[in-house]
Amino acid sequence: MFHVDLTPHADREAYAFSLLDDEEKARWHRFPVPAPRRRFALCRAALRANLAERLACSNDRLSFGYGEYGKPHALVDGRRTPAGFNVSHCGRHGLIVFASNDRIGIDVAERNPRRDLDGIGSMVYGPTERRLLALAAGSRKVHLFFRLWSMKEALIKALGSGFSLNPSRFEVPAAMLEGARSSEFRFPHAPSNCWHLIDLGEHRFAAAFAYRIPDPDGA
Amino acid sequence: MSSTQDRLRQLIAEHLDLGRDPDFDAKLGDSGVSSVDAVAFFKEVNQAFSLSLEPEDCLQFGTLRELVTYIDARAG
Ligand SMILES: CC(C)(COP(=O)(O)OP(=O)(O)OC[C@H]1O[C@@H](n2cnc3c(N)ncnc32)[C@H](O)[C@@H]1OP(=O)(O)O)[C@@H](O)C(=O)NCCC(=O)NCCS
Repeated sequence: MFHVDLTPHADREAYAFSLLDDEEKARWHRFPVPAPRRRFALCRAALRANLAERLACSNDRLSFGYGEYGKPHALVDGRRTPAGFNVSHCGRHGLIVFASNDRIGIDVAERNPRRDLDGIGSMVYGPTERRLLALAAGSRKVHLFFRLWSMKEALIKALGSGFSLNPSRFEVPAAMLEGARSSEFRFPHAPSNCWHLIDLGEHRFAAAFAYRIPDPDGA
Repeated sequence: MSSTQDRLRQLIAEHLDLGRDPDFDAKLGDSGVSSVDAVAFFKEVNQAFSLSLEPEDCLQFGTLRELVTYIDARAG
């Protein structure tokens, strides 16, 4: 796993842009303003550099395909590779994680205070999560809101569903609601699959990482 | 311009940092809006138009124009 510095920097951004393929450049142009362009180009270029090394191929042989809900996967010469990765970016921070399969998800969120955290939480948090959020105040509330957000988003990204799975339909493990930094997790709709959830939060941002624990038969 | 579009434009100005006047025909996925901002925005849309859209419902709207059409159809 590594961190990508997303601080504005014209030379780094220009170099990152030069590593993108035509489809990615077209996407870059469709973003209406500089900030999402920068986040996308710097993270995608860092992802490309790493994948090219891991897959022992040149950058121009690498492209990306997308799952039903937008989760990207790597292609070499147009053929899908088993390499797993996931990307998240927020403000000045990008995080990228790699694994041997794509059942991984990562999320980073800067803890910017915003109004009506309880109202936003009511859309995406379960009953226990909402109760805990309602009890918290001030900076503790902001901290808890983003901690929960990053953990739940890491899980829906690991699954690949994005928000097509309503995050209020599951809750993070009780041990983690009580402060534990990691725990096993099962989605209520698919309890036979076990996931590992890790809170990566630190002073600069909330962040979390989730991966599927392989079944004993290796599946 | 429809009053729904005006009201959405106002909500966007207040709640979504798009950095420019919204293009109602651009793909929402190309807006660069983060998921937390998107959820916060749809919460405001629910309140303003007495809707109860869930996060997964919001994926059906490819553009803001489609959201306007949805809201107007429900009002009509
Ligand atoms: C992935 C998702 C759940 C998270 O978005 P987010 O928190 O805003 O963004 P993050 O930075 O954590 O993650 C984005 C990255 O996740 C990856 N990703 C995209 N879809 C994914 C999915 N279904 N599962 C896992 N990863 C996904 C991509 O690599 C993407 O970065 P890239 O496009 O620069 O390569 C996204 O599907 C989503 O729902 N976004 C909402 C934004 C939106 O739709 N806005 C328009 C409405 S106003």
